[in-house]
Amino acid sequence: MKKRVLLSLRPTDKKGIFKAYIAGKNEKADDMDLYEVFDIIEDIKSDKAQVLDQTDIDRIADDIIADKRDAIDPEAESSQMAEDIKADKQANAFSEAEAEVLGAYIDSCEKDDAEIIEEANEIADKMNESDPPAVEDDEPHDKNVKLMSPTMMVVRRFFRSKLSIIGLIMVIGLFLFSFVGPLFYTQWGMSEPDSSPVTEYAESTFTFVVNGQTYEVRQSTESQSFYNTLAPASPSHPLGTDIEGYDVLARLMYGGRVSLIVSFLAVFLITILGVIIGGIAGYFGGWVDNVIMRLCDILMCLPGIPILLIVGFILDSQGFAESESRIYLLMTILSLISWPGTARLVRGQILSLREQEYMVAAEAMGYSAGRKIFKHLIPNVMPQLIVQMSLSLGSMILYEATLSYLNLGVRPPNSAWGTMINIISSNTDVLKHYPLVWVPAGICIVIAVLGFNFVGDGLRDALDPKARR
Amino acid sequence: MAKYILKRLALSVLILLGVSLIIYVLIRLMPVDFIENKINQMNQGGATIPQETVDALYATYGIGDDSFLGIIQGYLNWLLNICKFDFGTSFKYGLPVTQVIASKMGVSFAVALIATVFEFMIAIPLGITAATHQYSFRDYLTTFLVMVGISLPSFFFGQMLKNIFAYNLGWLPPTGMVEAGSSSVGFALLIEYVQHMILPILTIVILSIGPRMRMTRTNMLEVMNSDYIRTARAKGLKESKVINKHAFRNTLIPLVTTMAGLLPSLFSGAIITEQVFGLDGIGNVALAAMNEGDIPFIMGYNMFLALLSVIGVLLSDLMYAIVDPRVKLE
Repeated sequence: MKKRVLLSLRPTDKKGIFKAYIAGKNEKADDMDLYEVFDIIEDIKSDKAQVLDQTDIDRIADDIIADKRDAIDPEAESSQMAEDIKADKQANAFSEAEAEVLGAYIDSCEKDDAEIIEEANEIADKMNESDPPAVEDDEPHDKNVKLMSPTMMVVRRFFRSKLSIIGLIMVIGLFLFSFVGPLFYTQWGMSEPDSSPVTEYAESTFTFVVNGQTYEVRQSTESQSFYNTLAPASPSHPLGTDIEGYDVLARLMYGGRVSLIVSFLAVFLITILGVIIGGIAGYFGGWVDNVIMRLCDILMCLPGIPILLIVGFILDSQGFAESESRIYLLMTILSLISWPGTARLVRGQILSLREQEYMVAAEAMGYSAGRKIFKHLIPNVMPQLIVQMSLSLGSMILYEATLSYLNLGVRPPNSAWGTMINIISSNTDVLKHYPLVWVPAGICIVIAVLGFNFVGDGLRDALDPKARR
Repeated sequence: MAKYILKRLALSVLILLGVSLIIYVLIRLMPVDFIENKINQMNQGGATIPQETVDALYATYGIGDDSFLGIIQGYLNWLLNICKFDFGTSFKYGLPVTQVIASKMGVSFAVALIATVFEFMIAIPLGITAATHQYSFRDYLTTFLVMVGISLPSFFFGQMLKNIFAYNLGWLPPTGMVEAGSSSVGFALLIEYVQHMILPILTIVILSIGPRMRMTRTNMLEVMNSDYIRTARAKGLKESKVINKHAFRNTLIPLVTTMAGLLPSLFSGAIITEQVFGLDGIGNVALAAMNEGDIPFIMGYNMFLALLSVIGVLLSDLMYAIVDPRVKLE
């Protein structure tokens, strides 16, 4: 039987639940003596104090102890046990068949051998016919009992916060928009200009003075533009077109792909580097730790954006000026200088975990350093790591957008959210009169960062509920 | 104490050495003909870079000598110059880099200082109310707004403000430090400065208020759960006294240390905000210099930033020890 944790209880039949809990702890509840029951009750009082209220616990505990006292009467014992087990078979999460075997065992004290063998055979046949009990084991049989694994509890706590649900919806929505959207919105590609010619009228006036007389000349020009640029929103372009005649909606979708993929890759790289380096520093300590921590200090003093500007130069000089892989290289280098945050987190956790008893046990088992770090220490840092990852996803998206906005990252005709806003840094006309060109991209960035921050916050509260109290 | 400070200073020098090594390696990764191209481009663009400046650059960085010994020698040479505060001559301005940085620092510092003052003035009360009314509507609202602030990209938010308040409503000037061709002096000039500074400062404050508020809230919550607050309440003090006199004073410890750490970074300039609002601060100048390939300036600026952050860390550690007597220095 798996070890389960009881979470929320309805007020009815708490006795059954109690027994189920005791059964979960000690395969056969009714074989325990009084002292063991006392121990478990103490346990439950300390563990489950938030779940049951104190008077309930006391009342139920008294009930059970009274039961036990009755059961000590040697004559009543066997029949009492049989009844108890039959009554509790569901609460105990035993399968029907298992309960019958137990019942039969207890009955057997009063029956003769032949009968027992006959009955045992019958039961065995029944068990063969019925489904394997292992499957049923996962379902709580008593409607009042809710069995939850620790993971389920984290998920539940996560979804209890409205902000984390909103964050999750935002993130999933953006993913669908960027990755599934282009499959349905196929009219325009990422860099496919709308080449339907548009007639433009321009009017200009100028005045001149001849012999004291002022003349005003009004000149009207008609021109055919090659591309349908800066078009307003229309059925064929739901968000209009930009200055090159590209469809804004399509560029938003394709730009989202780049922004999201790049940020995810960068965060994974940072996490991997941080875990390995921080793990080594925390585990070995001494001079190894010292050297790594000084390296962290150095990297943390490097200014992010200015260094990336230099790196951008180097990439230009190596022939990556127009390459699509430019942003990937830039973000890789950003990861190479941003791992110290994660490394410090991992190191700090490992320094405290190293002193725990289970690590002494691992030492005694003679495990290798790698096994101790990656099998025993890192899994215990995972909660903090996951939170850190989801929060840094937001900041990586901001970094990518800033780089693209500065024309360092993704460059036209390729698309990224930052690149779409870049146009307004040089073109005031677009800034003033064509908000449809750049505002949607900004909103996408805000939604993405906000979403990841909300999810990260929710995860923090869910994984470490004590941190908030 | 003296021993601790000495140790920290030695460590800071070590960190700066490491940073300088990385920056030097970065510049040596650029091929020579690329640098020459950039210089030619700048010359064609109207700048006149004297040949001596270029030669001096090559000499200080040891560019052109790619042998191992040459690189080592170049690095040491460059380091020696840095120790003398000589970062070479800026291509773009024709002045020593240190002089350019010093002349542009004032504007950035003024903007950052005012922004920081506002930031603390708003963030601390918000953080405290959020903590004292934990899980209330107020708490959730401030948390939500702060999150939105953290999530806004500075360039987008700055441009939005510019678009709304400068172009559409016409209340404030969009860019620059003064009106073009302005000849106002004295008080009128001051008013003009103020008008131009409102939007950039607003941008910086809103974007950076979040972390500060969160920090105040977390610290406040921690303090509110401690024993001496219970004691203060138990002896019947007024709630306002408990919060303002007992709790808030203890949240000041981390706040003061961050303030000390923040001080040097006020000089570094906000690259993006200054670019968006066309301020003549060090961040904007550095961005322009970098886009045009002013290599001596880039190197100098990066070292300058590294120096500032090293001083910041040092100051906040020392401040921590001074403010909180419980901290023992090793």
